[in-house]
Amino acid sequence: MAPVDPTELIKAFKPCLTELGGIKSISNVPKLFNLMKRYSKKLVSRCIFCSILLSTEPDILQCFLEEQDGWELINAWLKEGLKGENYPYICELIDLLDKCPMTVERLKKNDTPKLVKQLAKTADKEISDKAKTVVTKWYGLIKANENINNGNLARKKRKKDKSIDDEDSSDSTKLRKVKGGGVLQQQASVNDATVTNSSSGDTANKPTSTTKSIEDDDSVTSSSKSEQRPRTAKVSFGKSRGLGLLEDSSTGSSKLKGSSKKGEEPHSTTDKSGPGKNTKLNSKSADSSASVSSSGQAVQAKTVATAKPKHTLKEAVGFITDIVNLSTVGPVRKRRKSESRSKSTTTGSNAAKDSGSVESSNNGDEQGQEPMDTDDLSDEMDDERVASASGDDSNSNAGNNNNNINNLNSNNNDDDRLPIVDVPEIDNLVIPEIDASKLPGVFKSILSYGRPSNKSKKSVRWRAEDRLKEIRFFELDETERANVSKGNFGDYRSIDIKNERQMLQQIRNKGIPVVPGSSGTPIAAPTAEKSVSYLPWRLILIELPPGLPLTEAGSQSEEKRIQAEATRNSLNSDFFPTIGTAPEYYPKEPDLLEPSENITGPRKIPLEDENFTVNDFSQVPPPQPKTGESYSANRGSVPGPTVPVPGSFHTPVPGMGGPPRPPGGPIPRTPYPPAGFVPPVAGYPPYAGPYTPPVAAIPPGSGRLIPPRPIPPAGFQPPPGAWQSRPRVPPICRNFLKNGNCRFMARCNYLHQYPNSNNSHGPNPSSSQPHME
Amino acid sequence: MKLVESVVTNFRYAKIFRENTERINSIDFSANGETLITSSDDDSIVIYDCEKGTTKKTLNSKKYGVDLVHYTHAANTAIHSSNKIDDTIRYLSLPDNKYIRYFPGHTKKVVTLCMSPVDDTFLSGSLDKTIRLWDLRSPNCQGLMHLMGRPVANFDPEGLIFAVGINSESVKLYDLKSFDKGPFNTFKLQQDKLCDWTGLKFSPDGKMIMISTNGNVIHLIDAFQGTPLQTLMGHVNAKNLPLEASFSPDSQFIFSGSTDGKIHVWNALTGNKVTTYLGEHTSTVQCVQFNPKYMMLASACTMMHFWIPGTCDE
Repeated sequence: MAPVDPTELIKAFKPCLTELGGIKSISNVPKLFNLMKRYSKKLVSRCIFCSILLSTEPDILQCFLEEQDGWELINAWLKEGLKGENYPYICELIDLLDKCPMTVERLKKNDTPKLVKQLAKTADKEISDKAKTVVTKWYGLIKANENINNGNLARKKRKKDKSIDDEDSSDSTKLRKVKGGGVLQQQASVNDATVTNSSSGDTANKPTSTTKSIEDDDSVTSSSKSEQRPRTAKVSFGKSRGLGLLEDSSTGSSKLKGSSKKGEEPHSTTDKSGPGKNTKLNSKSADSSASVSSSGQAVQAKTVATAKPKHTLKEAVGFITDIVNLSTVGPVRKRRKSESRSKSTTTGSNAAKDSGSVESSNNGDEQGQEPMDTDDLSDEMDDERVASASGDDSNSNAGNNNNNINNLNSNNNDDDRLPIVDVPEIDNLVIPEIDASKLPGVFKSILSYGRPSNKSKKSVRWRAEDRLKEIRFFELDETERANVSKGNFGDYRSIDIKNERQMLQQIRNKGIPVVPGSSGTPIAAPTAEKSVSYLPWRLILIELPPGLPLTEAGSQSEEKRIQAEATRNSLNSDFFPTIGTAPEYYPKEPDLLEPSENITGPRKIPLEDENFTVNDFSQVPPPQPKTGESYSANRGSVPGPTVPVPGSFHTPVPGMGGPPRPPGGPIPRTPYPPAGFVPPVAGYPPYAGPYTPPVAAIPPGSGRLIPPRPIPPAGFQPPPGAWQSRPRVPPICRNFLKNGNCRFMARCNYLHQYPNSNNSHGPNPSSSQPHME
Repeated sequence: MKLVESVVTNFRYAKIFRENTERINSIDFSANGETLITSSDDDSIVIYDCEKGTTKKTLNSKKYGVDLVHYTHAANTAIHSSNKIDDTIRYLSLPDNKYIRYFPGHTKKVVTLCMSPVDDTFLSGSLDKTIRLWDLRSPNCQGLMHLMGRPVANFDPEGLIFAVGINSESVKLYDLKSFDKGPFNTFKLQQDKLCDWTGLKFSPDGKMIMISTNGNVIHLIDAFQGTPLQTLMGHVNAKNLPLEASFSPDSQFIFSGSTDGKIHVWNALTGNKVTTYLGEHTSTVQCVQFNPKYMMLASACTMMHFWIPGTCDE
């Protein structure tokens, strides 16, 4: 993408802009918005858009934010800016936010307030200051809205019975705070006087527009909840109530005005009559139906002839719209609670009806997945609710009735698809729910049903204990045990083993002693520390016999020098990145030795020499190992006699010629006479010196335990012929050698004798090895 | 202090390290006796400081695994065989944990690896029935020998000859300078029918060759004549493991690991059992080595034990 030229960009926008650089008119807003949305990937263009918005008039800006999705766009910009930590740009954006006309609804739409609040804590003085002012401004806005809410609530409270506890009301405030964005927005708009209240009755279409705007809002909020039926999209009860109150209050305030302006308008009539009616209903329930019907007649004079169907229609339609307007969960629920409560408080016969209807509505409600859920309210449900609400008298619906009627009116005005023919249908649906026995086919005014004999009060209550549903939310705990029976057992086992090992390692590393049995880990180590000292560490040089070691280790090593050189010349060892590759300073590979060798490959090492010198001892049995007895006899002390010829190895026997190091040049091929089998025989006797003493030394050693072995020293010096006769002796039995016995016992073809006893011809007492016999 | 039997019997374990989670498969003291390098089946190389009795460094070679680690003469370098991926021998620079060179060639697990005591040659024997002779300076094999079975080989303490054990019955001595001319001497011994040879070591004085096996026997033969000198038994090797046995630096004593968790000590001259050490080894003691300079024995199962003389005066 080519770099964006700001002047070019501005030039392109010029027709849409005022001299100050703001957006010229509302008609230009969509166009510019689309441009902004599409071409705001780059910082330059973004900055330009930002400045354009900054110099735009507030009302146009409002349009930009409201009708287009400008608010989201700004949010996106802000996020990008934060990601890039572009503080000057963020600064601009905050200015823009400061300038934007704001409503609580909009604030709640996305996380811009949160971001700004975070920005208020940044180190950058300018940004944090600006962000702080914005935050205070917005906070003030929210506060103002809350006050209004509280005011409304208080007013409502007055209407309600005193038995309503504050807790509930505060609850509802809270709920409203959380969920009643629509209400707040609505009220905010009232405050701002941007959308003048419908009940002020400026124009004939006012109520309609109000409802519509509300519906718009709802669709905005509920669309995010992915409602399937826009008509049943829920608005918070708080909202509907708030709406009712709002209209009530505003009606109250603007009553005169409204009546003076459009007295003949049905909506305003109802509006006006609303409060009066409510009080009437509260005080005298009997007349309510008449009054309502009369008002209804007034309302529906043109369309509906009879009052009863009128009522049902009105209420039903009104309720549907009402429900449409209601969207959020909590308040609706609370409302039902009020119903259920009224059910519990009213003792009259109507109460039974009420409870029935409430019950049914509740049941219908419970069919939904969530207990708090009203999203699943069906049309049928609505009907039920119409019935119940209507049967419920005015106790909880003082505001709602008005509201319903209002909505109804507005609906009647613009919603001509609601034919009167529907009325009986709806009624038929409703009647069995309410009370079939009490209605002998004659339709009375709905409001006459469920009229309490005594004064019933509005109340807000939680559901009865047994009707409450318990929902547990939990977060997945990593350490929680998995269901081993599900999935592959082997996998879990290996995971378990791995974890165990890790834990073990951790414990070892930390040096935490493990209490055996407590954790089930199989550590038997008394101490889990990595190193344990038992003795003070000390180094004692060994006094080696003269001449040892034979050479200085590595004295001829070339590599020693090369590596020393390499490390001296190398940089810090951490400098070199990967393992396995020879870093540069290391000498190049094959150059070190003569290349010819490398080309020809390894030299063959032959197994046999041409001269073939063999010292064959294969027929000589290896010396008998010293048994455990002699070991135990020798243990603990150094008995003089057992050390045969001290230094026998240091005084080489003639013929040995010292170490096989050649005096110079190549090693002589044959340092020993190549006489085939003779050398061993000839060579062996000189070894008799160092070799015999161990054999002879056994008797004194073992003599402490057992009688000395009667082996004459001469027994070891056999005539040479004795060696030749040996091959006739069968080899020693493997099993006997290994186990000390053999399953063939005496029948065995092999020799059942320990190797050493071969040396002594004749019977070998072997007294030192009694178990061998 | 001279290493005499009374001192040897008085060795006590002074320090135990639990650095490894798996079996320690080889240990090697540096020539100056100041450090000990160990490799383990958990793919770590741990270097111990023998002067202070502490660990000095831990390296990991997770990719290739480590086995048969040996110091080279160059400072802070080691060669080791691999027990993962391939059987290449690797030349590792310890301070920066980088490989200097690879020595590829073996196609099966390397079971013998030894460094020449004086120069840069080293020998390796593998289960692919070959013994290879290398030079640290070249990745190319210098000498190759085909055998019939499991190879064992080692250098003499002067670095002039090397001995190869063949077929568990004969030892052939080669002159390092003219190894391609064949062995200059061969000692044929009575074949061990019960076990294979798994290790071959010259005594530090160059007069004896010790052949350790995967059975419960160790042979000691004369280095010049091949005469069988001693048969050392008494230790336990129930699992037919290649247990390491080592000489003391003065060639007087032989120490061997055992599957019973003990260390068995013999007098090399007499063949007598001197003592056994019982430490806190929980499993087979596979590696035993004596420090070439100091009175210190190192033994390893999954733990490291360092043994020093208990008290001076005894």
